[in-house]
Amino acid sequence: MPEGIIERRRDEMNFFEGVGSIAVAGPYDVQGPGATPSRERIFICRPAARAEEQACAERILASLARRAYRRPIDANDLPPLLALYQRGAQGGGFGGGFEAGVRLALQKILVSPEFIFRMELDPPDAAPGSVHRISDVELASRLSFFLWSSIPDDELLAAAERGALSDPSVLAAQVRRMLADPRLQALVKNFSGQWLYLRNIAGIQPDSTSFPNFDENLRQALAQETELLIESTLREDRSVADLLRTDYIFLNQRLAEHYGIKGIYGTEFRRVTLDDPQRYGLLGQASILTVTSYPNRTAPTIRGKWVLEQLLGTPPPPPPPNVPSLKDDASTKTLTMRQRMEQHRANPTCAVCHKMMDPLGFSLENFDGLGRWRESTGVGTGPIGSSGVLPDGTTFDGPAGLREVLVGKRDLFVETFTERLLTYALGRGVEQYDRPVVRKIARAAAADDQRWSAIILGIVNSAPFQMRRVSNASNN
Amino acid sequence: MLAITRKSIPRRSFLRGAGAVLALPVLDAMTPALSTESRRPIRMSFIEVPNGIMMDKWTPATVGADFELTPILEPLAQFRDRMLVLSGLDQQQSAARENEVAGDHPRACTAWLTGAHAKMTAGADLRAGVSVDQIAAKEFRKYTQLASLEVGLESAEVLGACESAYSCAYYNTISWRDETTPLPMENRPRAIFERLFGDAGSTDPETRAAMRQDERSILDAVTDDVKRLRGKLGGPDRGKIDQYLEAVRDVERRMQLAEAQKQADPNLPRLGGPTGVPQAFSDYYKLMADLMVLAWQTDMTRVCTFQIGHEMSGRAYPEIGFGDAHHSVTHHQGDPEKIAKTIQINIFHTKMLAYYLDKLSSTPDGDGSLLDHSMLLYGGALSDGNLHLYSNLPLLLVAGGVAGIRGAQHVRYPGRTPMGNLLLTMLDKANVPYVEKIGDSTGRLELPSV
Repeated sequence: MPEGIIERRRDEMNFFEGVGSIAVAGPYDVQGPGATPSRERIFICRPAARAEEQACAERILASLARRAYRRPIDANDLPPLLALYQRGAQGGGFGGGFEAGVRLALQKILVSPEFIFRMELDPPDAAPGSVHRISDVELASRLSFFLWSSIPDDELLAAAERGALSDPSVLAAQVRRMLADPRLQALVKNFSGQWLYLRNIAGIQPDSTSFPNFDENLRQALAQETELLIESTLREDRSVADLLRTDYIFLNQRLAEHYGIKGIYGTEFRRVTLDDPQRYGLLGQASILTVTSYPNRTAPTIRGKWVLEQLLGTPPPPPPPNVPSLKDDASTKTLTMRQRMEQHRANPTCAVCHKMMDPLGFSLENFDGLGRWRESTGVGTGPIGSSGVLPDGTTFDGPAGLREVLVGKRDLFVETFTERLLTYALGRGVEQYDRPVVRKIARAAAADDQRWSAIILGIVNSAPFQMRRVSNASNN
Repeated sequence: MLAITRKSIPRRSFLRGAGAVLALPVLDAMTPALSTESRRPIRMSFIEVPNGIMMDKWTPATVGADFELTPILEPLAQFRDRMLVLSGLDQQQSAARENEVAGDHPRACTAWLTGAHAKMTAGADLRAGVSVDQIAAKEFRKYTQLASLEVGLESAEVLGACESAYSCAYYNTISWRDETTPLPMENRPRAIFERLFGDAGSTDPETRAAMRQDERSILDAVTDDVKRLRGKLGGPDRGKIDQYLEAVRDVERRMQLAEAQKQADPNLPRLGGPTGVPQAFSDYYKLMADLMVLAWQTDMTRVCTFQIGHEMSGRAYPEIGFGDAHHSVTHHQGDPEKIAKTIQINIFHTKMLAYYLDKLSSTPDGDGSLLDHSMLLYGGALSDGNLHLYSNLPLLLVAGGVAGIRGAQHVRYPGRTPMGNLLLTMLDKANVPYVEKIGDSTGRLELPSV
């Protein structure tokens, strides 16, 4: 097999639909590294003569170190970098020269603990256990890793270096600027990947007997659809509660076929307004319906638990050991999923929690294990009963009914959402003592229509985001 | 938009060796450093299967040498002489303590190689114990570039909460460097390859020597940084920077060993790295097994820890004819169909183990094969996956003929014997300096000897 050609394996029927093989060739006759955007950003100057090299290297390394360490550089930073530059420029493993010197010093920057770790230093005389506001420069890093999953850009870092982020109006203006930046995509992808389990899409292995039509195009479309949906509400700065009730989705041809929607052609995604309210909002997203299913069938309990935990923030207690999962034999072939689970719930230990989870999951039974609409679960089982009832006695019917229930509880949803986003922003679990902060942010956002920006600003201005506790542990 | 992701090339095509990657350091080049060691070194592997095993189809009916192989052990028939089936060992630290809810699976796989109790936490303050593989690794790293290799076939996340109050770290790894540091199981074949053999680059000895010098000067500069920063940091942060420093020193140590191993062995395969993850479980398993064999063959490491699925794994095995999730069939509640499926999965796993053992036995090492100089422990952290039991664990030691151990044995130990006793005995047999305890161990285990 020649290098550079990916050959389709004969036994892989699940690879991209309609693609027999892909051949990649070239580039041919390459001279030098070429002009790439990343090189442009590193080489901010070009020495015209030998005598200019040292000064130019200094400028380049100072600029790189400041960005990588995310702070103003001081007198200690440059000498070791310049020593490495000298070594690389004069010989070394890359054959010497100006670029080889910069390369070696850059290598050092990228393995430096100050690049790898987010350093937040306590004031030298701070008492153990005391709390203090982090510096503006440290705040800039918290902010950029929260919103962009990356280092601060020049404007943010410059504002921090001036000490301007302590001014709430400057801080708010920076947040709004960052929310309008394309790098915000990272928040959509990473946050929704964790909150909604979308990361699990990459690892799902639907059973090919139950789902013969699953392929890699669909796998990719599933996650992308939900990311686009979330991004649309974020970019338009709408209420996060809209996530429960959006009346549009994003489709390409593969996904439209999956949903049974006609007239969508090609691989590009586009926004499509829905006629059928059953698929409104997050609950209609095939991605979520898939990651809350088993490889070969739906899992109403998992779906119900997902709704309770991720949307309402009220997870049921975990199951006891020795829990049977469902019977799957000749005696149950003619039963619907609901009837089979009712058998299971005859056991009182199981019933306590299933009473909370299952009715929520049942109402989504019209969506199969890959989120396609269906009217029955198989031959002889009759139509799906999608009525549901909440622990408090509220009854509803089908996905649209469940959605109405959730919209009615949108304050609870917004609070859960806020807690999840705060967890993401802090990079640590939200603890009991953070609860008042969560409630405060959610309540304050309610005055501004529970908009994305109101919640994000609430988090950025909160004590957990701006403060730091000095460790109690001894300093040895 | 068309992106090519998760596409794997067939396993064989990289082992056939089209790529131009470095030839590998020879074992014999190291003999001066190891001149006190007349025999081949002993390697250790620890292999965990998730969700328990059907014990009545695993445990032989009789003890001693004349036991009959059970359906789950049958695929290993050709290795019978090397096999010791060990019954009656427990990991009591898997038990729930007061105020602990659920978490049977994660507590079990955490205790498996540590004998320690997993502290119930979603991640803020992980605590278990050092695992046996890491005790061995700490000794063997004196001789090998990598202390150990941790390999998994599922998600490698050790962050965040997985089930209720338990961090994913407790599900997704069985290896702990110390009581607060879980080691992620690497599930990307390519990453393992690069850890073993570097990211290609030049094979020219002079260039490589110059690059090592480059790296050394970077390390020196970075070490200075750490010294400067360490004084300014508080307790927990200082722990993190120490771990970082440890990693830096590890690189340094690797470089020193690499310098000592300058000569290349013309007999070793020249290799290209694998790309992506194979779709079929068996291909994936075999690829990882090949890499682990390669790691031993080249003496890059002597310890491999292999978690073939994390606890509560819901993986389906369509290759063996059905699409049910593993975890859910193990909760069979007496249903014959689910029991049959669980057994089929257990058998599929031992068939895969047979591939790994076969590969080891066909790889020359000194005057014998790698398998002649290896101790492999295979089994589950739960016995009955339906009831979540952690006593009488399914354990198979493949070590007959190694270090004076007699194979072809089924041994039944008195109830409540800690599995830690076996782990300590394995360390003794592998010539690891005396370790008094691991977790809740109470002594050494008597193994049949020749």
